Amino acid sequence: MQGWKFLCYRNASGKNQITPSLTALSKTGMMQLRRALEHLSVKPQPSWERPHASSAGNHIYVIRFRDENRTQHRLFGHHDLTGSEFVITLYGFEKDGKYEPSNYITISTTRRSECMANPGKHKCSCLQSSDSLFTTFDHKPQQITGLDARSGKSPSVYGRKR
Amino acid sequence: MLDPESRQAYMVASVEQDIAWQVRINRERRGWTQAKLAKLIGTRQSAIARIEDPSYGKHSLATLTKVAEVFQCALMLRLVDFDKFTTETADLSEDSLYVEPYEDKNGQ
Repeated sequence: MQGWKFLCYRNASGKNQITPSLTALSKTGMMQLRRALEHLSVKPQPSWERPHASSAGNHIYVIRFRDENRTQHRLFGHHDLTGSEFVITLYGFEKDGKYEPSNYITISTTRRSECMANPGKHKCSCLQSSDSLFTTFDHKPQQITGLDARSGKSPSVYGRKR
Repeated sequence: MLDPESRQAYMVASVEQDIAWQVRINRERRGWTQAKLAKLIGTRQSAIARIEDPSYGKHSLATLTKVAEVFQCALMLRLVDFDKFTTETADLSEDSLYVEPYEDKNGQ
């Protein structure tokens, strides 16, 4: 199957609302996220179930990963109607069975509507050349791991050409 | 190139998450519930739920060996260089993570 391409939400001012949170992750958190996205990128939507991901209702899905402190990070977003993209619209946490921010569904649903109405304005690549998340990996932008994994294959993470 | 700490973190994430996905996919393709798998390996359903949780990260070799036994497949554990590791763990499709039971594959 063709893999899901992961995109990030940007607001009306053009500011990417997600990437700063991702680049602030610890290395463990970042790599846990990376592998989670690599898995989800090649899984059909029905397989996006707990504990790997979950539906939050209203077409909103939650990507789940942790870091070395067992902090449960969450990425909220939606599958694009084209069937090829997943747009991450909100970064948050889960603690004691509750998501933070508590108004996650309102925010995610609103942002989904914005993306649907004007995708060119509100969807963007998660990784910019200046982001530390980008420089952590030694890839060309189009090869960056699960964040653009249409190929269904994980590229080498060690930067060695084959 | 990834720095050593990230490389190690990626390897750990891959090992932890891959086995969780693989147990779930192989259980589901056999038409088994978590409770049935638990019964077959002599544990509780909650233990299977943990095994299938990619955030669990505390899989025991003994338990995984039992899981492999009831799935009628092998469990391979070996030290390899990172290039080999990334090559062999690159395909994460459900088909690639499924292992046909040995007796089905060999017509027994």
